[in-house]
Amino acid sequence: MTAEPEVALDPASAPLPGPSSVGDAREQRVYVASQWQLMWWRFRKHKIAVVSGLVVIAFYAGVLGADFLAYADPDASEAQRSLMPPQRVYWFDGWRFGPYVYAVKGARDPQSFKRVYRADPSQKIPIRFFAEGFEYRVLGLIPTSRHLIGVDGGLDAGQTVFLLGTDVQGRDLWSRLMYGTRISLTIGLFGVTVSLVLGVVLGGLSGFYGGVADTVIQRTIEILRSIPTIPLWMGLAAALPREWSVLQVYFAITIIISLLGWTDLARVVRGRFLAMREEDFVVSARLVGCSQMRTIFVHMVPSFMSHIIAATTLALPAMIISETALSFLGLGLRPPAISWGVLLQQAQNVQTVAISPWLMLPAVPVIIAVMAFNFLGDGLRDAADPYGR
Amino acid sequence: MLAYIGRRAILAIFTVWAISVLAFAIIQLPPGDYVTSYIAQMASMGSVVSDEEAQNLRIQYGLGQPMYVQYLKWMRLIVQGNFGMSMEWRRPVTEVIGERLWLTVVVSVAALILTWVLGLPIGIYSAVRQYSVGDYVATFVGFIGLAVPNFLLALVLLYLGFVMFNAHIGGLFSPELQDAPWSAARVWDLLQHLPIPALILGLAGTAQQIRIMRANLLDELRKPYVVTARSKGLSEARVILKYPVRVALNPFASTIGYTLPYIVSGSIIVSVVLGLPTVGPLLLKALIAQDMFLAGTIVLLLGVMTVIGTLISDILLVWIDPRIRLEET
Amino acid sequence: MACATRLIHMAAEPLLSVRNLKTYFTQDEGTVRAVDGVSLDMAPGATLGIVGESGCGKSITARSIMRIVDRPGRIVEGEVYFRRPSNPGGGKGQVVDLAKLEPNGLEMRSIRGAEIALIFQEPMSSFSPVHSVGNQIIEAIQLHQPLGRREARERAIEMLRRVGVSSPEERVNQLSYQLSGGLRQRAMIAMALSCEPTLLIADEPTTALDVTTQTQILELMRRLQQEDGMAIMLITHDLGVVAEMATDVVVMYLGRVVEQAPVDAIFHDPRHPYTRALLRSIPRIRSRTRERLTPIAGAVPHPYDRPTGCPFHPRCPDFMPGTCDRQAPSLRSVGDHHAVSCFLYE
Repeated sequence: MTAEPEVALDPASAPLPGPSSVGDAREQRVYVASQWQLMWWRFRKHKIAVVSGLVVIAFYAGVLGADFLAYADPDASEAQRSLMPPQRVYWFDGWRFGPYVYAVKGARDPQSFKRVYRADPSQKIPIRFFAEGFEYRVLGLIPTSRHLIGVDGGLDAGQTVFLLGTDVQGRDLWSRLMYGTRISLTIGLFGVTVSLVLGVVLGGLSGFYGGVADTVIQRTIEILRSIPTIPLWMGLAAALPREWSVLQVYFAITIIISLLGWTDLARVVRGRFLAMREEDFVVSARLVGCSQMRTIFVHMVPSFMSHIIAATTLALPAMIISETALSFLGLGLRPPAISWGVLLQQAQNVQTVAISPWLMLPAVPVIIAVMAFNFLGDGLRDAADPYGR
Repeated sequence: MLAYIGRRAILAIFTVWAISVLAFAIIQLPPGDYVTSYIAQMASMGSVVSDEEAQNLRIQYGLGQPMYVQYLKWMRLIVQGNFGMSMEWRRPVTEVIGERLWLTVVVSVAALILTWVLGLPIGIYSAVRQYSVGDYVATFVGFIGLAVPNFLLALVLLYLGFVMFNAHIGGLFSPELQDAPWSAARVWDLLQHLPIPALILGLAGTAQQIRIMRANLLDELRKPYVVTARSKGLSEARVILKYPVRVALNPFASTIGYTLPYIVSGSIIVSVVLGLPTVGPLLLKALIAQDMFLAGTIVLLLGVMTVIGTLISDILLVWIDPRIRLEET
Repeated sequence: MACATRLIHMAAEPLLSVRNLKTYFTQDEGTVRAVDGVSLDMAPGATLGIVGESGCGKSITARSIMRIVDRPGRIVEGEVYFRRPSNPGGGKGQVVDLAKLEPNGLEMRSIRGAEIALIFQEPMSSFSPVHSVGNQIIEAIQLHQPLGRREARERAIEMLRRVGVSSPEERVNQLSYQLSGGLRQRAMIAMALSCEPTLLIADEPTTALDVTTQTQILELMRRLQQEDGMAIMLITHDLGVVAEMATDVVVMYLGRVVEQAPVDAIFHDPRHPYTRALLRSIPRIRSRTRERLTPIAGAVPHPYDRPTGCPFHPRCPDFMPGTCDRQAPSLRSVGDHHAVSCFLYE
């Protein structure tokens, strides 16, 4: 029923339809970019995520260089220096840039019997960079005794610097914080790997094969998710023999935490598998003749690699918080191990903290690390999602 | 719908059983038993416990028999309502736990309600007024809630309260009413002390709700049916609340069930920090002392309570909107 | 050939009169001039077809009239004069400038949905997925008419029956996904017409439907128009639909009206090069085999990248350098209710 357009028409006079322009070179690059490149470009736009990524890298650089960044032996306790507040750093000596601190004299207050510290302005202790300190090995191999900062005379100095004060046993908090970072951040890695393996395997079985396996695994996940985790962790952690070495406790704790933490990853993996089973590209792979293994690993897995990475990055902060919480309560890592949680154990009650608030400082890296991982994970997840805005 | 409830109920029963086994296993894991730690305790005070005495104690407490026997004994006792004796406090476990369990429930439920009452409206506002000042503030607070672990938040707030206001903000009751019998005054006292612990516990959950609601709603706000509603002449408020909010709420339904265990979990540590008279500090002490009946019962009761709460919320949700169970994938 | 009754004159005062409407979207990357000076008139009871490619601003024009343009879009200039229905007591209805009203205010909201109604392209996503179809129709009814719940429901059922939905008493309780595409569109029409508007704006109502359903819906619209005497603004990119339904046609390109004429004139005497190119590009059933299709050269420019002068000049076969790329032409009359915006005719 369409009306007939009776426009007098000479096809020859109409402009020839040329090939529609594909666009400039930049658009060309987008067409041939690999999946990872596309992800990277999208990720880059998310400024906060990029900054968080840098923060995370900085943290792990700190993990590697903990020895270098610390200046005092983290285990060297000295009752005379118990609960020293952070020293004030003066950055300019006259007009020159030369950081220094005042020497500190401690005395026992005759009335409260507590140690009181006063700065002695007559004694200036300059802070040196790349100074000598206690011995350690870079990456466990090369012995050296250089640290980022220190004071003249190295270990033999009568006084030394305490940037963040000391704890009740007189140990330097800054150095302990550096070492604590090492354990707190790596414990998470190991635990997340365990969760990852469990989650991918179980989630994959569940999603790919469906049926009975799916039902059983799903129900198990639901059961695990309905159980409040902390009482269980507390119980399991308290059950660890007290004679175990620090290392054994460390690994046991991570396994305990990961045993309950794999459920989220498994659900993500299962969801992806389920969604992908119906996708045309999977069906066509099977039709073309790919074996099941090949279909899974060559075609399906790369599709959700990015989701896995994002989910894993988001699982790390949970691990860190869990370990910190357990150690804070005294049930996780114990001295002589040093982690953020162990450091915070000294800040358990408000009276202690009211007098020595610097004992709460280990909370700061916890918060920063958790925020950084969360933002990073968010950014990765957004970058990985092909349908996101 | 009955089938759905039936399924959830059966699953709940399984979960409770799993918890009981886990609770029991936890108690049995530490080498030695209560008697060994009792002996050590006595030794540190200077007295010695003879082997014969130790043996008698063991028989008395039923220790030393094979695991499954002990488990079944324990189960039988529990079904009769006998949760055993706390060896450390030398009183029945139920007495020691007392009202602490109920207080744990109260604090957890308060936190849960808070996440909804605060989280949803702020999330809606955030989405509708995207990029406004309010949105940024809400997002920022949300991130604080997610990044700062609840027990650290409790610690910092305790410190600030103490130092700035010379007030002790921990605890659920004023000192005078701490051990008093229940009365209207006591209830009111509890309500007055409740907001801060509930807020600390619920902040992470609130932040989560805000983020999810905001994201869901932003997705829905762009959809055509919102335009249709507007084109009919509905007021903007009704357009938003009746249509996209309603759709955006759907994914929430399945998350409620798992917020409760999370909050209950968190309440344990936060209670330790804040010194609340709930189950948390008690559990910690019991575990350190290896007081078997007490610790195991607490873990069991905590788990059961959580499962029941989750089941109730699931049933409520399905009752409100049968469509929700379709989200169950 | 059953065409709509032609209205030769717009002697009676127009129902809707859009004057130089400009709706811009201001974003960080630039300003998109979605509607850039559109003027058109609609007579009561007429059918105005608005054609153009995707992105030419047809939908935004409709939404601007209804004042439901999403942020960051705003009407920056222009007037939209609408004659409201007269009271039963006699006398002409008042004319109101919709562009000046508060979009969410009482007056605009009482016009929207009741006096001007809008139906959409995708009825599936245009209905709420969680409310029944009946609920949404009843809501529209109760919003504008003082009817109780029961009466509103009966009226909804009656509307559904009128638009040809079978077993309306059952359908009224169903959700949108339970209806077929054609039924959904009928339901949407029922909802739009439930308050007897004088102007129905149909934004690509048949694009998402298969051809048979398309015909049915168009028939339905024609029938309703004859019964109720309402005007229809039919927005489409399908020239066939326009030929079938419209009395007058407006051709738009990049937010501007390039040609406006009664339907016959558009098809038999198109003046603007764009209109001509559009008509040329329709594949003809009588063409010889292996004859090349003639699309319009080039592509629609990026909204941030508008050409200077006449927006069509980069693709125009009659491009006059020095004239067309300097200034934009204005709409001028070239005949009986026929206006073109092109330097060829100035």
